[in-house]
Amino acid sequence: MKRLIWTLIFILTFNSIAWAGPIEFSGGVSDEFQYKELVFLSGEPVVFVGTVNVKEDEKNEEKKVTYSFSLTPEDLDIEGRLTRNVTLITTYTPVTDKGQTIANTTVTRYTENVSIGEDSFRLTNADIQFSQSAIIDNRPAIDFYSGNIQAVKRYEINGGEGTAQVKITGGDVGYKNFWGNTETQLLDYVYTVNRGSQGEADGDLSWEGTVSIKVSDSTTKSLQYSQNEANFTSFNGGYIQVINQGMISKYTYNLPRITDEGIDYLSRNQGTMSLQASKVPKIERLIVPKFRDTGGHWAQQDIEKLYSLGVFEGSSSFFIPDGYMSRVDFVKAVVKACDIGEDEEDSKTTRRSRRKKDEVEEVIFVDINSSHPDYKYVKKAFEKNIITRGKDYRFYPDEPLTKAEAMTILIRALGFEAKAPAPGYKTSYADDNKIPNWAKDAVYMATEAGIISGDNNNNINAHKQLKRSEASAILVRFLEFLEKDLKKDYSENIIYYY
Amino acid sequence: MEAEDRGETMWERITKKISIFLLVLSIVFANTLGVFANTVENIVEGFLVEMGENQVTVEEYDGTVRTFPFNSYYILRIDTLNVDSSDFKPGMEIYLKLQNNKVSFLEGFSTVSPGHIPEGSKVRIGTIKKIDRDQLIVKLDSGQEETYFTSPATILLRDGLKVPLSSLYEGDMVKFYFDEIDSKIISRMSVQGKSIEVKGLYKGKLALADVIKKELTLTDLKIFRNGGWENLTNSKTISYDESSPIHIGGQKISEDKLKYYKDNTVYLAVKDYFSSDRIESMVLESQNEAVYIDTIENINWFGNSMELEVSHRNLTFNEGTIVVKNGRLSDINSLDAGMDIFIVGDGTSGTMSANIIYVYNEGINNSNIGQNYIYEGRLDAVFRNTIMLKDFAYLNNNSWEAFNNSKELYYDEDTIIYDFDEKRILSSEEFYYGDYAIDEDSRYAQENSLEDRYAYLYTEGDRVIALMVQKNRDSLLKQRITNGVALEAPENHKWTGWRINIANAADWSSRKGQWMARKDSFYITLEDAIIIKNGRIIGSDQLNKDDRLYIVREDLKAKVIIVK
Repeated sequence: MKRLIWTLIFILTFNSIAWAGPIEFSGGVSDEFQYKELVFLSGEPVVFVGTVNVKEDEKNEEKKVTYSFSLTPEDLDIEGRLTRNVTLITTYTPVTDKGQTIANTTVTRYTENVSIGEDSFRLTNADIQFSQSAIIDNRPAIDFYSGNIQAVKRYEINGGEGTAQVKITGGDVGYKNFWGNTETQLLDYVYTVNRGSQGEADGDLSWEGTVSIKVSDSTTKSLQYSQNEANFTSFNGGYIQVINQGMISKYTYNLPRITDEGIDYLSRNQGTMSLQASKVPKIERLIVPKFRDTGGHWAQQDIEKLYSLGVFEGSSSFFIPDGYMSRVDFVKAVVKACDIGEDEEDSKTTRRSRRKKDEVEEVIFVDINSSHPDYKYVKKAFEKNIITRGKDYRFYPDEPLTKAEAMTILIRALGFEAKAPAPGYKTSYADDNKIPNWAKDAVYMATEAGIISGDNNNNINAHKQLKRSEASAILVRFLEFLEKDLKKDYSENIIYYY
Repeated sequence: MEAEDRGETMWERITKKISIFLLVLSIVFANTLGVFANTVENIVEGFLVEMGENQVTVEEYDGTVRTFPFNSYYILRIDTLNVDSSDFKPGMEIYLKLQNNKVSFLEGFSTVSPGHIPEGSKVRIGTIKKIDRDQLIVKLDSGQEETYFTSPATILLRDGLKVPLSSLYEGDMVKFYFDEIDSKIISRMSVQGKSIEVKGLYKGKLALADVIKKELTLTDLKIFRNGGWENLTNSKTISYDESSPIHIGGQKISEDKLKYYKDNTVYLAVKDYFSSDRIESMVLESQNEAVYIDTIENINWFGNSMELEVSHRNLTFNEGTIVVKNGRLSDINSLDAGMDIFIVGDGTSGTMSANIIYVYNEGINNSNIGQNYIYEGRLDAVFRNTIMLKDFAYLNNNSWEAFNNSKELYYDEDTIIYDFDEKRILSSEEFYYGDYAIDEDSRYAQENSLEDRYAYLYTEGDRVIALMVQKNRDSLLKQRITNGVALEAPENHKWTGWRINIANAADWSSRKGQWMARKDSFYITLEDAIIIKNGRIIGSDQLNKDDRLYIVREDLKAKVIIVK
């Protein structure tokens, strides 16, 4: 029964995740108007442009994606056409006790017809073998993704004149959080084209070649400040939430050199071609903070960003930036910042609760009961393992938050605690011996992620009680990590350096 | 009886009192002894036999098996981390602290290698500020500066291909991998390929700044080429990254301020971003432009100024100054006296600051890691794995320096040997057994009209990486050393054969000891050239647009080209 409930929770949560990713596995990029990819079947890189229709249908543990491509060469001097229809079905198998999911993808339909110049290449359903499997690690603030692809495509050339076989091997990595998602595919194509001589002086037109594709699709949210140009207004300016989506692709090829006389077997055509496309940004204005005590404070921007996002709330005119951040306020801010809010299971629970009003809420901490205004955030953080419970069952909600506690909460939200070194190590900080044992992994990982760094004396001051301004700065850096650093790590840093 | 009774009672009372005293004494002693006993047994070490809900059984190292109950409050740890009792497994070594014979603290030991991380899992990304042999000073993305070290085992990858450490440049952006958490010795490095290079230095008028799309629209756009500005296009929209710095007069400004600089001249360093332009750095003109091609006489690092050798101008520089060296955006500290530069100044005749500094200097080696040389000489003898060069010359500071003695160099199976006359690559066997170095006085040589061949050699130290042999010797006096950038991909011209157009070129003047910038683009032919890229010989057709080239040429015929 417990397992069934967990499965339900997982399915309901997971189904709300829409993985934007590269289109199919051909390395193409698209914006709202045009799709573009490189085709190598002729032995030379040819840019094809056109449209692609993508349909997604999700039901319970299954996702069906259908792609329909209709493309022609970008170079109008080249005659050609490409049509491709693909249906991929992904089945999700939750491993609830590990908080992970295995996603297996199969092809149920794959047809492709390509003509380039005088040659035509035809691929039917029977000419493809495809296997894709991925693991999704569902962490509180982020879902991390990594998979592998193996496929073979076999084309018939000019109605039986020869065959073109394309072996595809590679994988993809990705993540998704409230602030964006990125998926990057790294694929190696091996082309083996067998064609008999065509008489005349052409000789044998068979060739082999390789193409490496790196393609990445990213969606990120960022904040942009907009000044109010009018003088007599009720506010000076405010933040805009900007959602950007873009795709980048890099093809590195090693092909035969094809000359007017045929294939030159003494040299190769090697090179790199890149594509990129980005969609028009989507914008959304955010509420305007009107604190009276943050103007000129070093953390003013950070505080205002968090207030605009609704991470901090309240109607007071005073934020009290130099007051101490309480444990409960910080946990609430993290839950809201990562959008670890109510999910469908919670809604069901709430409905059920309404039906059974007398039902008593489970006690999580003895010092924060269910009538506490922030109880639901603490409960969510506890359920997601962002915070844990001691033997005394106390949360100490109003106690000042220490740096060590803040780091532990953030690193647990990211799910990075297991990536720390094997225990028994020292961090690089001068006051390493003052870091509590329970916080050492979090301090190490937060440093690796660039969320914190030492002071001028290389002390981390783990026991320092954080002021509300300091906690705001840490939270904004944490959000930057979610929105920018992860995108860079999963996209440019793979494609540029791999 | 009463008396007796009383007497007995008295005796009994005395006895009882003594007994009570002894009892109290014994209890006190016993307790004291107990305390001492507890102190002795305060710490217990051994192997875990069984972990129960309320007690733990331990086999001490001497074989004694004992069971201790838990205190009302106790701490459980494995390798310093707090854990549950279910995490303990029989057989593991444990350490107990006891209070009143009850366990108050229990720690298990399991980790074999404290601090272990998977190989290469500690990663840093940054820009190389300084290279000094095995020492790299790196500015990390986080802003920190670190010093890392290479070892002979350090692997360097560029565009996925393994390349020698000598191919590193100051200004390269590198991903460093370390095997240990506190190690400074680099296990592996991946370097950005062409994407690191500046595609162009642009100048234009700012027409529009869209801070949401992160795009600038510029009119009257010009590109730096051949020591001046060439028209590029009337209008162009170029994207920028929010991390791209914007400066004016040495002050950093935010992108929000750009709207106040419409029609202002702006200078841009642009890189290729997946086949489109992207602004990496921009400087707004503050006053008036002045352009110089000159040599740095000296640099005053305290005053942030430099004196130019020919024009004798003093210019200041600041953190906004765009410095392009070896095709890369570089730190201002990478400048040095003696460098030949193109400067875009900003100011009046009295005070002038540098907005752009483009460095012409290029050498065979990218840093002091490199020990690459180019030799030319007569093949006096070819032995197995050894060549004796006679009457040889080598390129010393971009000039041929001749010697009339012999030089011993080494070749191996990996050496690429190219017979220029036969236009083919030779195996080391063919080279060894061939008539490439011969006793010209011998009957065999005279009968067959054989003479020693001449060769160009590209070496790493005394090891020959690539060698080109030819029958006729070139006149080194007629040769010129040039560096520049390929304006386009090479073309196979019907009259000249393969040729390539070179821009932003500079010729080395031995007399002046400096690079002299050329004011035009020019074609050089590649038919007679040995072309070396990443230590390998490549064909003319494998050169690409924007390749930076170090060229040994005779008139307009390239003899040796090194792709930088």
